Amino acid sequence: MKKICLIVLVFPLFLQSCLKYEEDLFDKNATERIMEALAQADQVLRGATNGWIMSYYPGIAPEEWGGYTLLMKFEAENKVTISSLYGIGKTDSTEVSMYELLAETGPLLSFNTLNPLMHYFSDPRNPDGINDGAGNVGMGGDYEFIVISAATDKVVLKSKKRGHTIIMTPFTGAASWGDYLTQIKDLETKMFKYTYMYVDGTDTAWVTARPRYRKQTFKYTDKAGENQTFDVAFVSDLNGIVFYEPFELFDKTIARMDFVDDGEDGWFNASSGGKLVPTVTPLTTFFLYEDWYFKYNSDDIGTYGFSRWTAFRNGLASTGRELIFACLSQYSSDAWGFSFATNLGTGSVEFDYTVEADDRVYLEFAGWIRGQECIDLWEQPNGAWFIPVIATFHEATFTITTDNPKDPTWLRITEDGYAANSYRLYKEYTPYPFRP
Amino acid sequence: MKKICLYLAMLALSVLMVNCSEEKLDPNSVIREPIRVETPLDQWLNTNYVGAYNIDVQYRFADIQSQMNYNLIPADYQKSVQLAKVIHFLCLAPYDSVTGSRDFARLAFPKFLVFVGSGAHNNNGTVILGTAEDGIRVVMYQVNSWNTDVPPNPANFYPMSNAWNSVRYFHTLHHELGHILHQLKPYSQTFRAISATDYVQDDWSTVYANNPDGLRSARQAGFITQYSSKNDNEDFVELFSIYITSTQAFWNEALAQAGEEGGNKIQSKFSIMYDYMLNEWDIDLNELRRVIDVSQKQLETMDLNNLD
Repeated sequence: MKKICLIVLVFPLFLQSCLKYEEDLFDKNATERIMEALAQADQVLRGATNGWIMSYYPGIAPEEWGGYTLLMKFEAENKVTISSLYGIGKTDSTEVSMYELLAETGPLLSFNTLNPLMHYFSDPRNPDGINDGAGNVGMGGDYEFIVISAATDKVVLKSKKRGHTIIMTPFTGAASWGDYLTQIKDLETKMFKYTYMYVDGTDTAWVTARPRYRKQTFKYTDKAGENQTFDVAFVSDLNGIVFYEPFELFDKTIARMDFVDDGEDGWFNASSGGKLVPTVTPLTTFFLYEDWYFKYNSDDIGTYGFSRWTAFRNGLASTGRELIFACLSQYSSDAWGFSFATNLGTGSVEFDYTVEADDRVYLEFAGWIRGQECIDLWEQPNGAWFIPVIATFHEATFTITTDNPKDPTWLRITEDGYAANSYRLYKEYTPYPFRP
Repeated sequence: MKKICLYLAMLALSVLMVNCSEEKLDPNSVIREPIRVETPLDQWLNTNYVGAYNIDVQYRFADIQSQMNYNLIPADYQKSVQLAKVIHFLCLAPYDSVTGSRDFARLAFPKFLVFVGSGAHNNNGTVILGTAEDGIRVVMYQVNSWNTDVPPNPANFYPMSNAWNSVRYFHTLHHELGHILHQLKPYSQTFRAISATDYVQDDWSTVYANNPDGLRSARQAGFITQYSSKNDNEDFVELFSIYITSTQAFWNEALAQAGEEGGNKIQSKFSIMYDYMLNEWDIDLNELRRVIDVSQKQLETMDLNNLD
C-alpha cells in the first residue's frame, strides 16, 4: 500500500516537460506597444489641419451641466489652441496652452498647463461662480482623457476621473472657427427656450431646460399611469442638438434633434420622428433662472424703494465704495437672491422663493449672506443703509409683468397690495447703476 | 530503506529535469523617455535648477504629484516661468551668495517643486496654499493667482511683498530646508530644554488658533508662530525661516508682543539657532537676511518673463 502511495505521489514529478510553450501574443513588448499607440494618437491629433470639434461633458454625470463644444488644434511642441463659447470664451477668442500624451492604461491625453477655456470646467473656483458652494468642485470637469480609439475621422476619449465618453471629430468645411462658433451661438439663441412639449403621435412629454446648461428634463406619464422623469445632456451643432447618448422614449430611440427655424419660435424634429415644440414659459421661470439687473432712477424703482436706494448710494459713497452692479440672480447652484459687487468685493443675500402662479412669486430672506463685502455692509453702522434695501424684497409677494412674454428684456416686479414697492429689472448687464 | 533511497533519487532527478529551457532577454528596454518637447522654460530649468542644484521643478500638471483628494487645475505656463525665476532669485541664489558656492543649496533645498494652478479647497472653506513632504517635495498651490502687478504692501511682513501668497511659498521652502539642516547636523540639546514642557505636539492648531489672538498666545508662550509649538524641530525651523524672511521691525514687534517671559524664551532659542547656523554651516543669518532683502528690491525691476 505504501509503495503504491509513493509511486502515485512521485510519478507526476516525471511528467514535467522541459519545454515551455509560452507563445508571445504580441510581437513587441508592452512598452513598445504603448509608445507606438502614443505616437499614433499624436499623429492623428496633429493630423487634423483645421483642428477638432470636441463634444465635452464636465460634471459628475454628463447630465449635471450638459455638454459643451470646444474647438481645438494640436500642433508641434505640445502646443494646443482652444476656442470655445463658454466661460471667458467669445466667438473669436483662442487660448494656447500645452498638451501631452502619457502612457497610463493606454495613451492618456492630458491638458497639463492652464488653458482658461478648458480648465473653466475644472476650476474648483469656477470663474462664473458655478457650484461655488461647499466642496469647491466647480463644474467637476476632467482634463485628462484616456484615448480609447484614434482615427482620422473620429477620436474617442474617456474622461479619466468621471468616465464620460468624449468624442472628437475633425473640423471640416470652409468656415473659420470664429464663423462656426458664431453660427452655433446664433442657433442656440434661437433654439434654446425654457419649456417645451414633446409630441409623438398621441404620446406627449413635458420638457424643461436651462439655456445656460445644455440639458433637458423630460416628464411624462407612462402606459402604467406612473409619472416618469429623466434628464438628458446634449451639445449643439450647426443643425440642432446631439444627445450624449441615444435614449428611449415611447419605445423609440432619440439620438438627436434638428432645429427648424420658421422665423417664429421654431421647433425640433427628433430622430425618433417626434417633435419638440416650445411652449409659453412662465414669467417666474425667467425671473428665477436668469440674472436681472437693477438701474437706479425713479422710473425703475418705486417710491417705496427709491429713498432707500438713495440712502444706499450715499452710504456706499461715504465709505469709499462704488456699486459695480446689483442683480437678482441664482448666484450659485443652491442659492438665489440679491447679488452685488462693489470696488471692495462681492456679496450676496440669499432669498427663499415660492412660485404662487406663473406670474407671481413670494420672496423671503433666507437668513444667509455670503462674501466678506456683504458681511461688512450688513454689520452696523453700514447695515443702517444697506439692510433697508434688502428689506424691500422680504416677506412680499410680487406680480411680474414684462415687455415681451417670449423673450423679456425687462421684468417689472410689483408687490401685491402695495404698488409703491416696485422694481423694473433688466436682462442686460448694467454696470455702475449709481453713475449718472 | 533502499526503496526510499530510490524514490528520493527519482525525486531529485525529476527536479533536475525541470529547468532546461532557455528564454532570451528582450534586447529592447521597457524604460522609455517621455515624448516631450522641451519648452524654453524646460531648457531654463535644466540649466538653472536641474544642472545647478539637482532640483526638479514640475510645472506640468500630473495628478500623481499632487493631492488626489482635491479638484485641482494646472498652473499657467507664464506664471510658472515667473515663479520659477522668483524662487531661483530669492530662495536659492541668496544661499549661494552667503556660502560662496551652490553646494549648500544643492545639499539642503527640497528636491521637487510641484506647481499647481488652483488652491486645494477643503469642504470647510479653508484653502491649502502649500504642502511639504519630508523635506523632499514641496507642492505650491494657487500659482495662477500669483500676481506680480500688485504693488508692494508695506504691512506684509515678508520683504518680497508684491505677491500676496509669497509669504507662504518662500517661508515653506526655507522651513523645509531647515529640517534638512538639523537632520544632517543636530542642534544642541539646550535648545529643546528651553520650551521642553510647553510643546503641545499635534494639538498645536487647537491650542493656538489660526488668528491674531492665537498667534499672540503662541508668542506669549515663547513660540514665534503657532506651528512652532508642535515640537522642538518645528520650533527650530520656524525660528530660522521666519527670521530670514521678515524685517527687523517685524521681528521686534513679534518679540514685543511675546512679552517678557515669551520674548526671553524666543530670544534664547534664537541665539542657539543663530550660533548653530554660524558654527555648523558658516551662515550668518543677518547676512542671509540682508541678501534676501536686497534681492527682493532688485526683483521689482527684473523682467520675470525673460528666460534669457
